[in-house]
Amino acid sequence: MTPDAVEVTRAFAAHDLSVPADDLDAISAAVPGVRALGEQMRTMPSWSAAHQFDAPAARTVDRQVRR
Amino acid sequence: VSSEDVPVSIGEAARRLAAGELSSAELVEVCLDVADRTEPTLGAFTARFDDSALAAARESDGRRQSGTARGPLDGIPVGVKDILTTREGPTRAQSLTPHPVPIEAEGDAVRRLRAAGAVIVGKLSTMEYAVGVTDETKPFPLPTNPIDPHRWAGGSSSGSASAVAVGSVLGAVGTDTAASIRMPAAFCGIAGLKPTYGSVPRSGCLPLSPTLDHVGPMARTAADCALLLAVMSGIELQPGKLGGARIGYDSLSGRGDRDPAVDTAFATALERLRAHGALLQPVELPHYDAVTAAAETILYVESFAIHRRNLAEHWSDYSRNTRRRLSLGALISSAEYVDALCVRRAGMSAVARLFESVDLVVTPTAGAPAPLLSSLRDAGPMIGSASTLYTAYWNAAGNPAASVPMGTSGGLPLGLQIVGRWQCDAAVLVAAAAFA
Repeated sequence: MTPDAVEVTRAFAAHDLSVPADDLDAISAAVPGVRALGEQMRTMPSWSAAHQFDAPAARTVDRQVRR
Repeated sequence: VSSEDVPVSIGEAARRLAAGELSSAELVEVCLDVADRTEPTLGAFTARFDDSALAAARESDGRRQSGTARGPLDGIPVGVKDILTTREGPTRAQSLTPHPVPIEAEGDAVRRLRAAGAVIVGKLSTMEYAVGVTDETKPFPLPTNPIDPHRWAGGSSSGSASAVAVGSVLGAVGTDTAASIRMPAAFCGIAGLKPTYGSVPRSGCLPLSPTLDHVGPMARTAADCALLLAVMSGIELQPGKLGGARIGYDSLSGRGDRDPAVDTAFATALERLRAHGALLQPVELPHYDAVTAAAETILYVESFAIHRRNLAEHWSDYSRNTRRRLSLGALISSAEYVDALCVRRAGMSAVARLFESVDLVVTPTAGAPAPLLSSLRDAGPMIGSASTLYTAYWNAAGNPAASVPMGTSGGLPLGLQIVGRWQCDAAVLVAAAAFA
């Protein structure tokens, strides 16, 4: 079993999911793609600031929503 | 009235109904005739309500004769995507599994259309639970493209787009969590709007990703979408104009497999907007890749949360691609989900700042026209595996985003995406109508 397949099996077990081998293979093949989503999110230059919900930029959104 | 005489739009049908040139019963009959002829290959309907539709049409005709017609949608045949409930028949969401969550018998959007006199003629095909791709092994319609039956109608509001395109309905209700109104609209050559997040009620709709799900209108013209949206949202749409509008454009080139015809059509579209008096300026959508990744992350986690018990009990009843796609959420941690929400929020702030300098933003809807159905058999579980799309960013941001036809590639329709500020859906549709 590949490391990605092991990771998928463990993650699924946490949710009482046990899947056939062909599904496991296909889902395991998608693991790098899922991992890449996290890397893409971290390309945001203001990554750390994104966690500050009271930043002035966030208040701009609130103004837009209320309009 | 022959089936070649289907009005080209809701607006035209409303005018002919008001002038007494056409009755609603005749209009519904002619649309049902179109459905009879096209369905064997189109696969747009999961259920038809011919008898109740004709009865509702006759009631509409009675109102018009007594001077109590309810407005431009009275007597207009519309269809509803089969993840939204209607009182006429079951909602199966193109699935053999039981619903993952309970839903009410009929939601506000459909109820409002019905109250406005719209005639519900049937339920329209989708991808299973509004996710996944076509599955020829399941006993459900295979939605094909009205231009080329070997190609996909797009999804997941597949039948909503193809039925509108051929005229078996004049308007339809769709849903959009990452692309599902705009992508099939683009592939089938019609108009569709993902409204501002939350502006159309989602009651009666099976959820996929609750913070990204939108219910919206699909029709042959943007003006028709405006008629449907006004009723579905219950919000009075403010008029606007394209002349003088500041429009930012981003071609989003260099992402995924891109058909060169998209760049040609987009350049032509910009010239048309300029000819209408729009003031164009290049922009870069802020944090495009990060926000798009956040949208995809959120979709996987939220849809898995909804389906995880169903997956454990009914794994093999789901289509292969659906169950694989839905289960990707199990691979994403709660911390990564919170990261995605934060990226989304920062992206929304940046988008709001962008809209301080422009009134609208335009991009292509997709990087290529409708793919061959045969290519979908090998589509992987990731959302982007079936097509190159530029739509999910706006599900994360929540802004209203329409797709309207902008030329063709090899005879296949391409879409222009027009986006506005929050709650400025009318400005989007005005621009879209003027562009057409």
